Amino acid sequence: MNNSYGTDEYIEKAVATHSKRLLSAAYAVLKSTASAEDAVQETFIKLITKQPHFNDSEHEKAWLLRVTVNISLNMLKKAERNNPVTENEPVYTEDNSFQLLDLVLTLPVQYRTVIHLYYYEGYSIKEIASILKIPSATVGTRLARARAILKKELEEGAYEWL
Amino acid sequence: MAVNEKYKEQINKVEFNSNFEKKTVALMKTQLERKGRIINMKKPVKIVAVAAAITSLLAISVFAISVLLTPGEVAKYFGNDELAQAFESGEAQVINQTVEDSGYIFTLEGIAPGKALEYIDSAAVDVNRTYVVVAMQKADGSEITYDDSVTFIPFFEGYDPWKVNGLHLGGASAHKTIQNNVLYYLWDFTDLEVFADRTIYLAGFGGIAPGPDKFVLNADGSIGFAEEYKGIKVMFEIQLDAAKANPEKANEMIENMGR
Repeated sequence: MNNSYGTDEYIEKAVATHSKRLLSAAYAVLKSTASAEDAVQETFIKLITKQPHFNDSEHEKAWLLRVTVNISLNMLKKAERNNPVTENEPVYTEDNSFQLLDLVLTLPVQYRTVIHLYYYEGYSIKEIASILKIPSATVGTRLARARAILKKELEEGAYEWL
Repeated sequence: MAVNEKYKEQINKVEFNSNFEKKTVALMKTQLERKGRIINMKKPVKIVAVAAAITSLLAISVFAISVLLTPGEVAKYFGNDELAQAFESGEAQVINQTVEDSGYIFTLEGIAPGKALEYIDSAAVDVNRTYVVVAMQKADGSEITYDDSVTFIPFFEGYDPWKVNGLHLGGASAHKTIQNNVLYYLWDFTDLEVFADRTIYLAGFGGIAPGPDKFVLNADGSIGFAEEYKGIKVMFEIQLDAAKANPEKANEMIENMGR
């Protein structure tokens, strides 16, 4: 894949193509739109400063997602060190009804990251393991536990589980 | 509705700053311009060394030179505002130790272990590198040029300097500039802090290779210049927080050297 990092065209295309998915991934981790924007900007800066070689557009997408998730997790750790919060505390509700997203955001960060990559990006367990650099079995366990929590909390029959 | 569709639908409704893409593109272009400027000034150095031994001596004096740019100003000149801020705020160490040798005055201005700057969370500062600012000027005040440049390499007490040094452990690069007849270097080396349980030396010398014709490992583990070496001899001792040492990681780095 030819990455013309130094051109305006490459920068504009990369931002237009990937911003939405990276912001969503960062939001799933950070639960804050402002922090998600910071994390994604940092990711794009890394893209042009590190200038990694990509085999194809899927490789580029996976790299960007991994960097975004890692930056987001680091930001979360720093924020929690400075201002500890209790995990599993709901922070996003529109009308007091526990929607699916609200519930996902109450999951521990390891679970909601996997849920996001599985349900939003459509990655397989193996692909998520490759992106997060963790064993497939760990991804499978996190996914199963996250689903079990969500199923328990959501109204029975409300969603069709894949 | 399938859970993936519902999840997508809901997360896609989350609203981000409408100018995000525009601002990000502008930020990336600025960063790229800055990177290009730094690359043009960079003089990367990578070397391979050999083996042998003998001893040396040199004179170290400590005095202040008020006309020098501060390490923060040097970092800022090279476009690294985050590093500059770390020096100005005291997160990085300002040292100002001076050595005079061969008609030159060398000042170790400051050192910033990347790990200590982890809080900066910026692409401009790599937490796995250590940043060092050194100034060099002619003792008689005459004009200095880039031809006067010397090489600086970190060594570690107890290790043969030509076998284990900051160049072999992850390479080194320097940004250089001459301002008001002072040659400033902003070096970045591998993470030196992992070796903080021993004396860390920063040696300056002519040429590139830190061979046994220039350096010796003494019986007590200290490192000095070889007696027969007649070139520029600068040897600073760097004191880092010993509590931050990581001998396990240091051994791993040495084992992986050159792979």
